[in-house]
Amino acid sequence: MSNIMSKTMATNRRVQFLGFVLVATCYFFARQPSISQGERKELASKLHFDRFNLGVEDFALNGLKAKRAAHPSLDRISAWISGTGAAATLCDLDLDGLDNDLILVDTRVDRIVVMPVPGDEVHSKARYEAFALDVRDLPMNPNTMSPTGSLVGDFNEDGQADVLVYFWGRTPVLFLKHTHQTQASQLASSQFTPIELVPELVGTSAGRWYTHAATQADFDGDGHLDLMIGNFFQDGADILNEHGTGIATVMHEGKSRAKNGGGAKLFRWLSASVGNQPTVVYADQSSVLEKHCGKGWVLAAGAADLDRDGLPELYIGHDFGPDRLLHNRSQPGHLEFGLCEGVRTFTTPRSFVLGRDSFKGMGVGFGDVNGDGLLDIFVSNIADEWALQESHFLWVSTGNIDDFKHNRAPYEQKSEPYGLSRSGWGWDAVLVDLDNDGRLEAIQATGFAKGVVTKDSKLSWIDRTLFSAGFLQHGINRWAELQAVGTTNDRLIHDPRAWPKIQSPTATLSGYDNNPIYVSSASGRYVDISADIGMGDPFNTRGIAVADTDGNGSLDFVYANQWEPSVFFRNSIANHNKSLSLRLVLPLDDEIPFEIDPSAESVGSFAIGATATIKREPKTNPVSGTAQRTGLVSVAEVLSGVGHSGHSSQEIHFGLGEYPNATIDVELRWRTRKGHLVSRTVSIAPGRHTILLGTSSK
Amino acid sequence: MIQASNTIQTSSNPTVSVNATVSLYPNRNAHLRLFALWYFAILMIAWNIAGHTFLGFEQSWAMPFVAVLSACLAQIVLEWVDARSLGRKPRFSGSWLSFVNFLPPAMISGFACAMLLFPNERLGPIIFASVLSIASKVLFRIRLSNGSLTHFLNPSNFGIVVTLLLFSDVG
Repeated sequence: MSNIMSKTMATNRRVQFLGFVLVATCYFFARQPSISQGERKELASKLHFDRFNLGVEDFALNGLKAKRAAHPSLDRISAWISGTGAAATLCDLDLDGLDNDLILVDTRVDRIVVMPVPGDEVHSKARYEAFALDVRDLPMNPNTMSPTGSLVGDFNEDGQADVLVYFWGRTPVLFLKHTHQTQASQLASSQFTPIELVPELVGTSAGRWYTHAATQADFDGDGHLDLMIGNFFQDGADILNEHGTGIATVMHEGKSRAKNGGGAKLFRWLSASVGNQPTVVYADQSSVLEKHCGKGWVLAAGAADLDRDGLPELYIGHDFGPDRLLHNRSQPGHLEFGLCEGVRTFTTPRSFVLGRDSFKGMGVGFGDVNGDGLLDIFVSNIADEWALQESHFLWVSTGNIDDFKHNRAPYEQKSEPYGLSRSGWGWDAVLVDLDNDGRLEAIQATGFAKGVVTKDSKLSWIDRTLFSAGFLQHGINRWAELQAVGTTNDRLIHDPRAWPKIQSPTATLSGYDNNPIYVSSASGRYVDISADIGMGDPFNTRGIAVADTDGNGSLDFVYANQWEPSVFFRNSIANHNKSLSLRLVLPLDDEIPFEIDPSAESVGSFAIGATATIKREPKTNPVSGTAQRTGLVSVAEVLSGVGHSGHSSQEIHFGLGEYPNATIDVELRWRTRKGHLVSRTVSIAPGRHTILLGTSSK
Repeated sequence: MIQASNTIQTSSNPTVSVNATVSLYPNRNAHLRLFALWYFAILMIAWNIAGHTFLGFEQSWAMPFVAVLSACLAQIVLEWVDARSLGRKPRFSGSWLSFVNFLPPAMISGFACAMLLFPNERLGPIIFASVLSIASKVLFRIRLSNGSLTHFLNPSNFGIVVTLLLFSDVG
């Protein structure tokens, strides 16, 4: 008997050893790739930023707010309702040739503030006093309406940069800048005339819009810029009314296919006038989008010419429903889109098919990541550890652009091999070259509710005990409650009363995430180096706006933060990399000469939709692993209003690395004011250039 | 308490394999154990097919296949080594039927790992979880009073929990 016992003991050991080896081997191969400390240090040494807090506290009318005033029926989810609104746009309002004007929505102040970016060394003193944009005579009830973002463009086609401001609680307002203002006079609120985008809805309950995305592009190719406005809650909801009765709104009708939100609206440009009483009139053509999207819960949008046919496609990020990629099939005056979806294979997770996902779609950014001359799409979802592991999307172009015509989206989801799958509760997602090395970096806004517990907080006895014991320094984590929403029956969550309590100011939901700054490592995978360059703060960010604010060839950016100061980061990299910045200006009259760096003051507006394509030195892409050579062609497009709430400069920017040649060939393509597609190749020196896109041959 | 018995009743039917857990079933009935295993395995197959076709499982189609395959392979290898070193015949040998009847425990663990874990598009963590589930049956064993060894952890639950703890990127 003892003999048998010892024999089984010995065999047990042998099998156990083998089992251990099997498990250890599988563990070894299942690990995520990582980089050495040395490489991390080297990557971090490429970037450096000086930070400036954006002080707008003086604009607060009744003290700084810490949460949204909300309808009583939404009180139990007050932290969720308070989750959005911070926004930033970088632009050139004073026409000094630099995108150094910032339009900021700070939710604590709850107003639209225009200010020069801080640390402006080009000028000895501030160019103008910061001011708030005021709607003047237009109806505005601060108790039920709050600004949630801005979009800059020349809406009435007079060569001045106008501002569209969108809100929770009302329809958007266009602030049209006066033409007669001379360059010498300082920028001020009085130079903007507010007019309604949708005058017929003013004062009606249907006019209570909850907008979270606005983008502009010439969708029908008629030479005029059209607008897409994306709304979140149902139009007519009563979200911000503290004295409301009944139920403020119907929530999502499900968690994966909700089509009962505000929906994406489309406005086709009809006519405009300039002068002291400027106007611009749009035709509401929202049904063109609703046909394909229903009324989604829009959180992000972007328009860009993805198939290079000269008409911009539209990507719409939906909360609680699939994102939508619409192929543009419009004719001048007639808007038409086709819904494109990706293809699923044996190894594709369900949501990794474009247009079929159930993820949250909270930010979108365009950039040519794989260097094939076609734009790729970076999309934020919720992908936070110990919370909810969706996956961010990096839709990488396959190159089969004919697929668009057959309603197929020629994109593969590659965030995992590129290392961009997870970071936190994501919002704006941008692809930009911060160190001018020719490879795009990625920055992502993250965070949701940054709870704080103090001695005076209303706490349950158990939370009180935990707080006394030194816990809950970062608020009360309400992810368990939100996960309960995730497992709730789809038929219940449309009623806000069925949601668990997620209340400000104590509730924390991924609020202490850092905003990742991703740099491409030697293997081609992106690595977050934000903490290594001293930017790993737990910013609670919604919007990221990027621009070369000082004209030195490197990109600076703003984090628009929720319930905390927003921050401006000035790029102070020191390297020998060159860059090419192009301000593509569409003149008011097509029939003037094409001119690089025009000597005289040229009046025009950014040629939104124009593209620039450059050829680079051949490089192999380590990520794709195949023999495919990439980085050969890079494309960039003049874009406006891409993302969630951060809107970047309308300048085109290419990092060139240590570019050895004196000039670089750039193929430009744009649509004239008359609607003709024109292309032209120029050979110019690296650096900053303004190009006047005239068509006259003289 | 489990009554000690120096000899485990071997079934007259050679296709019904016998192992230590049989002593935990009423009357040490190997058929009852087999019925329970197949019942659960078939349930898991049905549940996975429904999940992937219309219930909206996030995982790729590849995951249940890879998980079940790696769990089965791990179980075969470990049983083969165990049997060899003990000088007995592996429980999957003998007939086609005994081979098939050997697989349900691995299928159950594999399907469970593939439907309860979401490792993005990566198959590695799923393979790890499945192999660990099966290996846990030899890594963590106790001796019954009859001298035979049996595992005491729920294999798939153990594999899933350890995977979640080791891989913070797996949801």
